[in-house]
Amino acid sequence: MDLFEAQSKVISSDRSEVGSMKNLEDGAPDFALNGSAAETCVRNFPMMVPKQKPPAASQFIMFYGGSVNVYDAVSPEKAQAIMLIAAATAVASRASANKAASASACTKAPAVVGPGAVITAAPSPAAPVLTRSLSFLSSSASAEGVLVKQPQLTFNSSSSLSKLQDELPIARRHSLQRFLEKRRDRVVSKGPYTSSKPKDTAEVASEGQPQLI
Amino acid sequence: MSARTLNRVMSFGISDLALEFVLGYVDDPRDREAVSLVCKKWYQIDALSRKHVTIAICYSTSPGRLRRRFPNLESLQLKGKPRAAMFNLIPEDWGGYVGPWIREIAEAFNCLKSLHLRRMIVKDEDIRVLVKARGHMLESLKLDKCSGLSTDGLLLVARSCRCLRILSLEESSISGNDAKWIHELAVNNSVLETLNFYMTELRVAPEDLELLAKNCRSLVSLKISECDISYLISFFLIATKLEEFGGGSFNDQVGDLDKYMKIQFPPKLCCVGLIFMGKNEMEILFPFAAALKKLDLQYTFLSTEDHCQLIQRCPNLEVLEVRDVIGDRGLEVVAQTCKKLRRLRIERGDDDQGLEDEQGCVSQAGLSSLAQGCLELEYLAVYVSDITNAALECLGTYSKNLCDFRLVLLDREQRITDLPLDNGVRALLKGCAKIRRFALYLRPGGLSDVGLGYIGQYSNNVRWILMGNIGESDRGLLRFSQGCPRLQKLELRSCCFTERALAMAALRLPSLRYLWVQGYVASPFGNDLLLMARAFWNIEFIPPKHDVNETEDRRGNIESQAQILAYYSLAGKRVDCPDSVIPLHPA
Repeated sequence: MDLFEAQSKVISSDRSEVGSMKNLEDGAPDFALNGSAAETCVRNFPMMVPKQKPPAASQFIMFYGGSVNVYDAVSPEKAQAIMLIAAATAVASRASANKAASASACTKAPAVVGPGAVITAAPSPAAPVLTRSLSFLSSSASAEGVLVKQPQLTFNSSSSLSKLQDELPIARRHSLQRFLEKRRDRVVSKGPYTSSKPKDTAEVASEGQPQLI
Repeated sequence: MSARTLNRVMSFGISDLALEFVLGYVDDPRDREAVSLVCKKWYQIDALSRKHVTIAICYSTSPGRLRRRFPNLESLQLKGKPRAAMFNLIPEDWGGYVGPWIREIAEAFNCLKSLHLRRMIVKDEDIRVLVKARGHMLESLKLDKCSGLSTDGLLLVARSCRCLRILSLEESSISGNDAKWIHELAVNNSVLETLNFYMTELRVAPEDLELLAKNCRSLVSLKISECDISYLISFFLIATKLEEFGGGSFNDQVGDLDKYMKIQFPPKLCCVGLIFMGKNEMEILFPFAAALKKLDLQYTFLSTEDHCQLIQRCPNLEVLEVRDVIGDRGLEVVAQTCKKLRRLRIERGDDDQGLEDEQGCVSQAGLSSLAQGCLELEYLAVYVSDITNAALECLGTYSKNLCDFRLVLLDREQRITDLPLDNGVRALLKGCAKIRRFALYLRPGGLSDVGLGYIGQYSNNVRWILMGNIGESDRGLLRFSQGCPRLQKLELRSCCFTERALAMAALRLPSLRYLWVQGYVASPFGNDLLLMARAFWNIEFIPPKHDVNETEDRRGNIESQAQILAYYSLAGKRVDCPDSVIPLHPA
């Protein structure tokens, strides 16, 4: 299963859905992202639609308690964090509501909506119907090639893996990193005291690649 | 009273007094754990007589709980930040504050003589409280990769802890520029055996070290920060019992080598690690190279050939730490010479090949020689540039004593000779049955789902696993999680698994008590992650950051990916999370 193929199909067919939701009533933003959300979200599940207009930063639209709140320039990472918090508090209050054995709890099935996805009602938050992944492996990265050509293996979304590796270079131990930096300083500032000479002091001084960490 | 009841009262025929004597000889924590599960009586005796406890993550329990269970502890080790903190991956203010523990120690732990804190935040105020209550009986204090304190705190320790035999501050971040604390230590203490402030930026005055050597006649181990060792000539003459020395440095003045040649090292010195040592200076080790048991060359300026020259004079080496500049050639020399080698760490050198020797790469050739030559090897950590299945099979065949194996495949070479490593990994794990700690960091294509399944299948004894860039899909992770019966701590980085698979694996691994993940395929709203929500299982989320001015990195922006941290805890949700950490469960 290629996550990105599914994602691109879903976005194109359902953009209209997202547009129509935006036209609902435009209440004043009163959604407070703090503990009070937890108490009231037993019955009403917040529906969140991070609308992505590539390549600009995202606009975050939130439906809560009958009003629509629009936030500009929310990065995908922040959006994910906000959604995670909401999911966590919803699960927690769902668990406590269930414990209270209240028959009226969860009468309204939470409607979980993703970017450009079909609006469906999920019976429980633990079984999302969406396959799209709002991850840092955005669709714009799919053009990147595979980092290492390994003909004997095929794997999911090779482009996403290569982007992962670029973003997650092998980390270096702090103590060793400090030593290597000190050594570079010494080599640049004084005559080389080692048996091997650096190719070019300018080359040594211009360490600009983040991948070194 | 029936016979059955009488038996119970007598605790299986052994009187209480006898039981206490017998259990006094039982030290291994696993044995102690088993003892405590037998019955209430044995639980109580164990609780009152337990001497040492290691708490692998300080948030898994609370100081009060520790005190209620083990009130007579003599020695405590506490670990704070996740291991990834050593690689600059954890925010500095993540947590691991020792304050609450110190307050409990000051109030209640009346037998505590030894405290070891690892990756924790320790403030001067914490030290003040600790030494006020326990300074008179503290024998060992280790602040290992800690931060938050200053030389003022060290001064308090130096003045109040006259029984201190071990003081270790290795790799801690300690602010302050004065070296008074060493002077105070030298003046107030006469029983110090180990002093370690290696890999710190602390200032040190040679005269204070000389005073220390004069007053502490039992000093056997000294590891210091950078200080030109030509200033330590007198010190080395006075510290006649010294067996271990680390740190120091060599100055850059070319042509001034005579001052180093004048150094006369103590007669019993057998563990050495000198910073910035180059080819010319390494000759000062030659006179006693044959006696060397431990050698740390990670912070030296030696080439591949220099390593060969030095190591061939060290047939008694048991512990060797180097960078991969040692090369396959150097490993050949190790294999031929160091037959007693138990621990070998081969770190990652500079990526700029201009700064490191051209021959400075380790590959399957070096590993195979090593395996066949050093049969006593127990610990092997290596950064390789190339690898084959055959090399891993060789390790599986010869390295029967291996308990700790860590392999990282660098991304220098575009093409690796032999991937995936499925069969090699299987042979290694099957052959080295004693492995308890295992790390494998590869690249996409390095290990297939089948190989990941092998790790699960053949890791019967393994307690800790770190994996990076392995597997192809969730199927691999799920297969992996069907095995590893004793896996307690799992770290995953840069893998392709979904949250759902991670959650299911966490639920399935029977002994798992700690999980750390960076780099994964997130679910739309984090719902999948919460599939692993359960009682006593804390889940924390560290959102990615985009820092323009990261203090640790001078190269500008670091954009780091999100992290998941989950661990068993009896203490409930953390109350000291910074903004960068979001506790998800308990919410």
